[in-house]
Formats: sequence, C-alpha cells, structure tokens
Amino acid sequence: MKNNDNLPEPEVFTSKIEETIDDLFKPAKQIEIDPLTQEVKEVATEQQKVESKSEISLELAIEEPLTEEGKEVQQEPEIEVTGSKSTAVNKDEIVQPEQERQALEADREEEPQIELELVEEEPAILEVEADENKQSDEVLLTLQRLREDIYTIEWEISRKELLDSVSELQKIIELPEIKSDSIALTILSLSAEVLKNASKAPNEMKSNAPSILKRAIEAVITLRSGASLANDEIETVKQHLHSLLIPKARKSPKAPIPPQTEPEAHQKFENTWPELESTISTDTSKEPEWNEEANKLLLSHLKELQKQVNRIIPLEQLLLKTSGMEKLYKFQKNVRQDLEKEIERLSRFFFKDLDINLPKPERTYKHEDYESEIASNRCPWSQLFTLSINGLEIGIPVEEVVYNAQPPWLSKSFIKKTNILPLSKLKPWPWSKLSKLFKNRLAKVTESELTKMKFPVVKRLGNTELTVAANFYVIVLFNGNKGAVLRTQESPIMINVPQNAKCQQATDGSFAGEIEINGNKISIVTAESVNR
Amino acid sequence: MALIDLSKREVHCKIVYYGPGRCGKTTNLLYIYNSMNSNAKGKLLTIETKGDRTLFFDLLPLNLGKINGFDIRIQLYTVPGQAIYEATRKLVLKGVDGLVFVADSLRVRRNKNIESLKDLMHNLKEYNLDIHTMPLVIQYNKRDLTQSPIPTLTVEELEQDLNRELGAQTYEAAATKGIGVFETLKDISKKTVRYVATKHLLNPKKQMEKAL
Repeated sequence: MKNNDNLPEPEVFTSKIEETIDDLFKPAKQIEIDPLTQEVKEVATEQQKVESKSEISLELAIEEPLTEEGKEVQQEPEIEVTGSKSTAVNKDEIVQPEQERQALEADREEEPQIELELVEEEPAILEVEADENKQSDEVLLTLQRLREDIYTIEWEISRKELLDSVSELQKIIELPEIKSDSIALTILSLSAEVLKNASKAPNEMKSNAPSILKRAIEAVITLRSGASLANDEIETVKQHLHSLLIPKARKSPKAPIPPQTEPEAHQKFENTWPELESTISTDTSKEPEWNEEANKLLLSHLKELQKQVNRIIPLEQLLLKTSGMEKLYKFQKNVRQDLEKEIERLSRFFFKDLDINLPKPERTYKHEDYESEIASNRCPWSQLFTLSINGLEIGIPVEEVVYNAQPPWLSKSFIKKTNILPLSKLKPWPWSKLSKLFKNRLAKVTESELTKMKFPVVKRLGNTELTVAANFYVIVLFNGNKGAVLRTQESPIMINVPQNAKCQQATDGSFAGEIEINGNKISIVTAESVNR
Repeated sequence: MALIDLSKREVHCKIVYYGPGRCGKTTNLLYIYNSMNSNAKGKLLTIETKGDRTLFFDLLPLNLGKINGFDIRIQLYTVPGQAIYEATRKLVLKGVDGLVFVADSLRVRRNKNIESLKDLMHNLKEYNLDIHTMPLVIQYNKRDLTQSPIPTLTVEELEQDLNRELGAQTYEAAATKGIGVFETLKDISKKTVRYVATKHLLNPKKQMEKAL
C-alpha cells in the first residue's frame, strides 16, 4: 500500500515513456543486412561521405603547418597566415577529385569565416582539443560497450560474459584518462574485483550484483561525460561495491580485512588480475602445482578445440560442394571460425610466451582457394550408386534411387519383359504395403498414389543395349517429376565423389554428365536424362 | 504478463515478433540491435540452427532507463516461424504484452501468412488472451521486393488477408534495409507500455481512490 502512494499518474507516466521511446528507439547508423547470410554492412549516406571528406581535409589543413614545419603552439601566427590557408586550398586541389571538391566548397560556403578563423587563430589548440575529444569519446565508447556487457550479465550470468567484462574493464583501467581519474579508477577497480570474484563462481554471484555494477558503470559514464555527480552517489556506489566483496572477507579465518582505500583497491585488482590471465611465467612460485595442473587442462582443452576444428573442415568442404547446402555450410564455417578465434584468444592469453603445438589439419586448407576451385569445377553429385553395364561404367545419384533390389519372384517374369513397370508389381506379396518399399522422394508418397505410378523401363543407354540376365536387379529412379526403371546384372555400389573428381554436365543424350575419378570415367544416369 | 515490481519499481514488458518462417522477424531484431545506440540495448541472444533459421527464439532486451523512478525494460522476442516448432512458439507467447505480426510480401507465402496469423490467435487463446484486445502492429515486410520481378502481394491483398477483421496499425517494411523497422518498434512499444501501465498501474490507483 505504501508503494501505491507513489504511483505515477498513468497518463503523465506513459507520455514520458513515449517521449523516451521516441528519443531512444532510432537508428544511430545506417546499416544493411544481407538477406541470405544475415551479415551486417554499414552504409554511409551521401551526406556522411561528404561530411567525412570535409573533416579529413579540414584536419589536413590544420595539421599541415605543425607537422611539416614542426613548430610549437607559440609559433602559431607565423604558421597559420602563411601556411594554413594556402595549404588547405592546395590540399583540396591535389587530393580531392573535382566533384568532391565542389561538394566540399559548397559546404564551406555556408560557414567560410568561422572555419578560416578557426584555422587562422588556434590551429594547434584545435588539434589538441580534437585529440582530447577523440580520446574522451573513445573512453565513453569503451564504457558504453562495458555497460552493454553488464546489461547482458543482468540477463544471464555466465562465466564467459563475466570474463569478457573483466577483460573489457582491464582495458579501460589501463587507459591514461582513467588512471588519472581517481574516482573512476576506484569504482572500476572495485567493479573488476567483483566481476573477477563472480567469474570464479558465477552461481554464487549475488542477485543484486548486476544492478550495482550497472549503477557503478553509469556513474563512471556520467563522470566521464562531464556531468556532475553527487558525492553521495559516488559513496553509495563504492559502498555497494564493497558490500559485494564482503563475503570474501568473512571467509578469511582471522582478522577481518579493513576497508580498502582507493589506491589499495586498484593495487589489489592489479595484483589479482594475473590469476585469471595466469601465463606460465607468472605466479608459478606461489602456486606451482595448481598452475601446472591448470596449464595441462587448458592445453588439453585447446587441443580438443583444435581437434573439433579439424573435424569440421571436411564436413564444411562436403557442404560447400553440395548444392542447396550453402546455408548449412555457412553455419559450419561460422562455427569453425568461432572456435578458431577462441583457440587463438586462449592461446594468446594463456600461452603467449610458449610455442604450443596444436594438432593441425592434415592438409593446409585455404578456404578462398578452395571455394574458387569448387565454384569453377563444382560437382552436383556427392554420392553415387555405381555399376557396370556391358563394360559401361554408370553412376546414379543416390538421392534419385528410390528402389534397389532383386524383383519379387511373384512378378519377376513380368518385370523381365515389360516396357512399362507399374510400381505395384514390386510388391513381394499381394497384401504388402508399397509405401514401405520406397525411399528418398517416394518415401512419403501415399499408398494410393504409389499404386497408380508407372515408370518406363530403360532399354538403351547411349550406344549400349541393356540386356536382362536371369538374376537381375531392379533400380527405380525418381526425381520428383520423372521416373525410370533399370534392370541390371549387378547390385550397385555406393561411392562418395572425391573432391578432386572432374565433372562435366550434359543437357542432351541419355546421360546427365560424366565424372572422372582417378582417371576412370563414369557416365551419370538420372531419371531426367533417360527420359529425354 | 508484464512484470511490475512496485517495491523495486521495475516494469518489464514483453513484445513478441510473430510470423511465418523466413518472413524477417530475426532480421527486424538484428537491425534494431546493430543500428541502435548501445546505451539502451543489451546483447541480442539468438540461437540459430540449420539454414540459419531460428530454432528456439531471439531475445533483445531494451532498457528505457528510469522514468518517474521506475526502471522500464522492454524485451523483444521472436518465435521460430516454421510449422514444426509449434510448442516453442506457444511457450514464447507466454506472458506476452505486445505483438508484432510480421507478414511476408512474397506471393508464394500468402497462405503461410494466413496460417501463421491463425496459429497466433489459437496460441493466444490457450493463454486466455484475445488478439483483438492486445497491443498489435502488423508489419508487411519485404516491400522492397515489389520492385523486383519476384511476384509479391499488394498491400490491399495483405490487408484483405490479414487485417480486414483486426484493423490493426500496419507498416510497410524492408527489414534488411531498416525501412519501417523502427516505426514498427516505436509504435508497438508505446502501445504496449500504455497497455501495461493502464492495466497494472491505473487499476491499483483507482481501487485506492475508491477505497478512500
């Protein structure tokens, strides 16, 4: 009830939310997503292009006098009058193509005086300010990235996310702008300490930790963006962060740990951070057994990861050359690349000083080369049923073979003579179900439809007459539209088409193409080709 | 149902992007995630499977920050559109506060759009929810394809198929280019927040006033 007293007026409340939605929910940049691969590409608008070029040339105009002549700020007047204006014009003429120069000049016409004044009066100060702004922007961007990580932790606490955040924090703490800001440094160091502890046992992380961390990062962002922050808020944030670290202090058997002073907190973070990044060279004296064991584990983990990468590669190759599998190929490729990145990251992080031997794939695999090779000589068939008919080697794509067996004795003589084979004649017994006899594209066809189906029997392949032996096999081909029946002397053997096979497709004749494997030529027969 | 914790002063709203398989639900979230400023968004959690299709769901948390002392959060979910994932779709709809129905403009997907909308209505009923009373926005996606030789549906046809009875606000979109994405998001977010606030905040206040 007490809370209800403070309930906002819904109308006012919602209109405030709507304003916030309008402010926040808008694109900060122009992007495009590839509809097939879902890759995100950044698109610069025409205006942005012109603006960026304008900025570049302005920077050149400002920088030129200083860099070329190497003069200090005190020498500005001499430089700017003689150098900067003329250099700006010259640079434009040299660097910019005619169109861009016109666009740039059109832009400049709007504020010619301001720009010239800026260039003439304080070029060096401008540059320093620009640098400072740039650095400050970078710090803010990094902090915003960190905030994103913390938001993620709020949704899901995982060791990976925690370690990522610690790593991000470490980078921020190393920035000179942060090192010189004692408040930000303390808050960030304490946050890092909290995250680091949590990463050791994510399940034991306090439920309010993410919101405290978020508040801490928000406080630093506020400080860095130049806005003022109440001392109370800073103190509260620090206290909350300390409170998250207290359980660790309680575990200490004897004297409780005194509250940390700001430099101590940072120092502590710096000292404990290497635990996480423990390379073989550090801390071995303190915990040699643990380190050795941990390193062994890590190394075996890395080897296992590399093994998985090596397993994915052939699968990736197979998918790449199989039509219709492009997306699955891309999925596998992404998995492999993610694993490789992880291996590299871990190796660099934990074993940067060591030359570790990870199992490499058997053949050096250059993806781009392979892709272009495959693209130029792509085989549409990955698996074939092969057999010999009167000395002619033929191959049938596995996916087209819907039936492959000796004929049922009941209708053997009929099948031997017929030119058109009703599929119902393949029933071993009159009461047998046809639907259980077929695979691939006929696997899901209903019984009644199968009963109605009739396929022509192939009597000739190219110049080869097909004779029927006493004990023959029946192979039924079906591609979804057309079907055909082959009567062969032998049962076919399934083979995988190797990568080095040379393929040639044909659009006429009774063969769909030819494939050469280790010098042996195999003519490809499909339901389509024998019905031509 | 929206989570409103008056003691912590937190409001969570759940918006689900629904639609047939491959209509562009995940693309909507991807666009929002990649183009939006980082100060309001969390990380996009997405689980993909064969052919890059969504197997479970995608989740993009958005945070509006503190308004009137309330922490306002919006969670955007997508469902797997493919028919076989019916159970997952139903599960993701649990506790939904706002809906975006993403329709595919491709002519060949016409029946899938209608089936998916029926499926949505059916699944909502299972939770005793009525599509007519819920915040709903319909997005006609892939409108950029109308300029290509690929057969597409006209807006009138889409309206006739999907919105004749519902009369919901509609947006034409090309999610891969970002067209209509934020318009849809803004509209559904506002509608949902208004719906949640009216339902959960106004009623306790009125009840209190009556009691007094």
